[in-house]
Order: sequence, then C-alpha cells, then structure tokens
Amino acid sequence: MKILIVEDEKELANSICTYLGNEQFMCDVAYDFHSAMDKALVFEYACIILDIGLPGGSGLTILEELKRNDKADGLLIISAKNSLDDKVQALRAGADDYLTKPFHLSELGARVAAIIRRKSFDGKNVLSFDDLEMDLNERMLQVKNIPVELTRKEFDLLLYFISNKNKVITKTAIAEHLWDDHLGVSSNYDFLYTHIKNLRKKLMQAGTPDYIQSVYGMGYKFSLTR
Amino acid sequence: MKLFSKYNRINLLFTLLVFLIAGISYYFILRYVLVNQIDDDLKIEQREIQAHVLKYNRLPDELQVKDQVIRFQITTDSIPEKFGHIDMTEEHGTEEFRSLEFFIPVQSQMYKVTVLKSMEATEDLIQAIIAITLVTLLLLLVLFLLINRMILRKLWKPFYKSLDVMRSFQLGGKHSLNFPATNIEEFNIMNDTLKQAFQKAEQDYITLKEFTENASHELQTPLAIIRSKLDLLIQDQQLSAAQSLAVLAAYDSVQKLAHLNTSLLLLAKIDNRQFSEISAIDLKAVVQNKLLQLEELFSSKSLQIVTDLKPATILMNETLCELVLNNLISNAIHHNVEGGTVIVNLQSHKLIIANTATEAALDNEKMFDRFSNKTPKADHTGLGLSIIKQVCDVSHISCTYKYLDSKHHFIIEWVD
Repeated sequence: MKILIVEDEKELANSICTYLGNEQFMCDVAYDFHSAMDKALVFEYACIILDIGLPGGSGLTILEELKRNDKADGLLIISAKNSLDDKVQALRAGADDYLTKPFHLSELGARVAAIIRRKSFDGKNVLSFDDLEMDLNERMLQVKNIPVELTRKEFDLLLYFISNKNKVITKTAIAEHLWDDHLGVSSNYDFLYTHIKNLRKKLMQAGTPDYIQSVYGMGYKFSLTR
Repeated sequence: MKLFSKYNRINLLFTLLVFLIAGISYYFILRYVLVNQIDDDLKIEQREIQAHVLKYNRLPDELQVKDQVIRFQITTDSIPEKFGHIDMTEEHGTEEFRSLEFFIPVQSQMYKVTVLKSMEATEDLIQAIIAITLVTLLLLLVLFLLINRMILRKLWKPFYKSLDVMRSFQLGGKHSLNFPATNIEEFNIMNDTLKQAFQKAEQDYITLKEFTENASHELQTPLAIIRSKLDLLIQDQQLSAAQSLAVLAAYDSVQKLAHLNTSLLLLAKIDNRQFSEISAIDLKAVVQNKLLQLEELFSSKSLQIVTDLKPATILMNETLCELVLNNLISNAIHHNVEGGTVIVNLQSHKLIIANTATEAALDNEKMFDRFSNKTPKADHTGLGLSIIKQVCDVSHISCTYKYLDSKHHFIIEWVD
C-alpha cells in the first residue's frame, strides 16, 4: 500500500514518511502543489496526507480535483490553522479527517490507520493483531475467539496501541488522544497508568503475552516480543 | 464632582465673599458720609447759637423738637468742643443721637451747650439703601448663576458629546469614532487630537493582534517539525537513559510551547469574534457531561466533588461555553490539594465553581491578565484565566472571583 505525503516543509514530510513507512506502507512525498497534483491524479494511494497551505496553490484545490476524478483515496488534511470553518469546509469537500499542527506522529498514525481501515474493509471494520481481534463497529475484543470485556477507555487505548504497533508512544500523546484537550498541560499521568495496568492485566489473563512495554519515563511500546 | 458644580461652587464662593466685603465697606462709608452731614448740621446749629449769644448777649431758649435737642448747663471748666454719641431712652424705645458739646461764655458765666440730633432717620436711610442694594445684588447673583448654567451647558455640549463618543469606544470594536463638529476651536483641536490618538491606538492594537496571530501561526509548523523529530528520536532503541531523559525534557517543553501557542491563537480568535454563533445551551447537561469526562482527573487526586445543579439555560456560543467550563473545572482540579474539594453550584443565572486553594487569594486586579501568574507551575500556561475572561467579555457574561474559607470561588453570572 502506498501513502502520499503532500507537505511543503520537507523536514516534516520526511518525519511523517519515516514514521509511517514500514513493511506494510510505502511513502511517496510531494513538496509543492503541482507535483502533488500530478502524483495524486496518476497513482492510486491508500491515503493522502494533505497540507492545505502549499506553494503554488491550496491543498483544497487538490482535494476538489481528486473528488471530481472520482478518486477513492483516503484523505487526511493537516493544517496549521485550527479553525472550525476550515475543518468543516475540508470535510464537506470530501476529506476523511482533519488534523491540526503540531500533532503527535502517533496521532497521525492512528488517524491514517483508521482511514485505511474504513476504506479497505468496506464496513466490516475488524482489526487483528496476533491473537487479538477487535470489532470496531461492535466495539468488542476477542482473544483467541473468547470475548474480553474492556471499558471504553481501555478499548480506545488498545486501538491506539495497535494502530501504532512497534512504535514508542509518549504518555502525552496517549493522554491527548484519550481525553482530548480536557487535561490542559498536565504532568500528572497517574490515571493513564491505571488504565494501562488494567488493560495489560486483562490481556494477560486472557492468555496473551505481555504486549505493552514501558520505555523509560517516556511512554509505551506495543509489540510482539516473542 | 461635575465640572458645572465645581465651577458654580467656586463662582458662588467668590461672589459671596466680594458681596460681603462690598456690603460691609458700603455700610461704613455710607454711615461715615451721613454722620458727616449731621455733624455739619450740628456745626450750623452751633454757629446760630453763637450768633444769638453775640447778638442778644443771652442764651436762646432750650429747644426740644422731635429730632433735635439743645441743652444748656452752667459749668466752670472749659474744654474744647467735641462730637459724640448719646443713647436716650424715650417712651417708645432707645434712640441714638449725635451730639456736639461746646462752651460758650454768657455774661461772664460759662455754659456747656449740648446739641443733639437724632440718627434715626440716618439709620433708616442706611438700612433702606443697604437692603435695596443687597436685594439687587442677590437678584443679579441668581441671574448670573442661571445664565452661567445655561451658557456653560451649551458651550460644553460638544465636550460632553466627545466624552460619550470616547466612552463607547472599544479597541478592536466595530464602531468608528465620530466626534461632533463644533465651531469652537479648542474643542475642534481636542477632537482632532483624540481622534488621532485613538486611531493610532486602534492601529497599534490591530498590528499587535495580527502580529500575535501571525507569529503563532508561523510557530505551528516549526513546532510540528520539532515534535515529529522527537517522536522519531524516541523510536531509537539505542538511546541511553541519559539521552532519553534529555529527549523527554525537550518533549515536555515542546508540549508546553504547543499548548501556549494554541491558547494564544484561541485568544486571538475569540478577540476576532470568530465564535459568533449563539444558541441556547442546557447548562446543567453540559456541566454534568463535563464532570463525567473529567472523572478520572478527580479520582487521580482523590478530590471530593460537591454538586448542586439546578436547571439553567444560557445563550452563548457552544464552543466557548465548553471552553470556559473546561478551563474552570480543570483549574479547580489542577490548583487543588490532594484530597481537596471541588464545589460546583449551578443556579438559574449563576454558576459557582469553588476549590480548595493551594495558595493564598489571587490578586483580583491582575489575575485575568495574560501571564500574570507570578509562580507559574511547569504545567501551566498562564493563559487559562485570560481565556475565561475573554470569553465572558465577548459573551456579555460577568466573571468574578472571591476567596472564601480558603477556597477559590469563580462566579459566572448572566442575564437573559
């Protein structure tokens, strides 16, 4: 699967590319309006990450052109402008999601994963990882076909982990994802720790290996350590 | 004190002072002149008596008419003539007389002659003149005051109009400055100067606002790059513990910077009235929902929540309403002690959020200013209260602070 990153800030584009690129995804990068338009119209992408402010034109023009050509690529808008109007306009024009800079790469990873999942499973929306199977429509988790009861926050947490598997995710990024902006800038993540502890316990009681690895004081990594 | 009252007071004081001095001097001068005249009459009488004695070599008859008395007394010593005052008691009261005493020899016998003239008429005259004068002056005074009042009011009208214009002026507001035209030079100069000053202030304000806004916007991308690089850096398995700590510190600072920037942008947006859509909000439901969302934060600090929620509706922008509640409640959590209390009290037109204070009362004057917090916590942007204040201002809601029973109380009040 290929992902197109349209972002005039080369360093940011490269960071995104490095983070998302793995055995599953291949990254393509465009730094300006015209090369972005060319690439988007010629190739098929699982997801296009589109910056609105581009040299040579607006990302919204690319978005409209893609829709006119009935391109089914997933579209994630990233913008420095956190304006409700822009968000509404982008979503109305056919974007799948909207993310404001500066974002956490893990948040971007989760959003891209969600867009691709919605596009490719055609409403089935089931996510698998090792022994885990998450039904996102029913919000159910099965471990080796046995249902495991999770709270809403635990389910979201697990989904976030799997969307960013094998990556170190900071506590801040997790907290912001789960509680939006409600926290303000808080240095106290005790409550996050409780949720992670409970999730880990439930998974291991269901017979899985310990997927969640704590990384120094920075955060957590969800991976298959076998 | 109003300009009119002040002017009138000073005016009245000085006029009265002048009247008093003038009245007293007037009385004495008038009296002096009239007494002089009586003295002249007495002198004439004296000369008549002397002429009589010279002619007939005897004294004239003692005479006593209504306002003039002449008396003779035999005496041995002779002293020079002298004027004086004598009060004489008569059946209808005391009467003041002006007297002239002199000595005259008649047939080798010394006589003291006293000529008295009544001052009653004089006093009456003085009183009448003074009364007439005072009444005239008083009338004049009243007239002056009235005229002054009318003229002043008319003359200063442009000034008061300009004052009204200035009072209704708001930086960044939509109203333009319209000072009334006047044909008085000073007021025109004042209006022009004011207009220039206000326009300059307005321009500076807009420039500053745009600068803040643009700066914040421009900061978003570098912040995004820094954060993304740090996100990549922590993926590195080779990081030593010391390096991890350094990255973590940088990460936290970027986090704070990003938050600060978002808050500044938010303030600019509220300032620009970008949240103008207003709807009736069921505040009770919103507050309940908010408390539910923040439940984990409450329990993480073992805070006790005391709620008393009555149904309430508020007309305002939904996003801003959320924002204020968010800030108020999370402030109540963050600036609380372990095991403290948060009180949420909602009435039909009033919302009180109180929390156990970690520090002393806040400075009511400065607390809503940006970055006024003198002891900023590492996890505090210093903009939370400014945002609350700004939202309340654009939504025409009042937000006040009180310190009671070592608790911070934030009181939001609104009218329909």
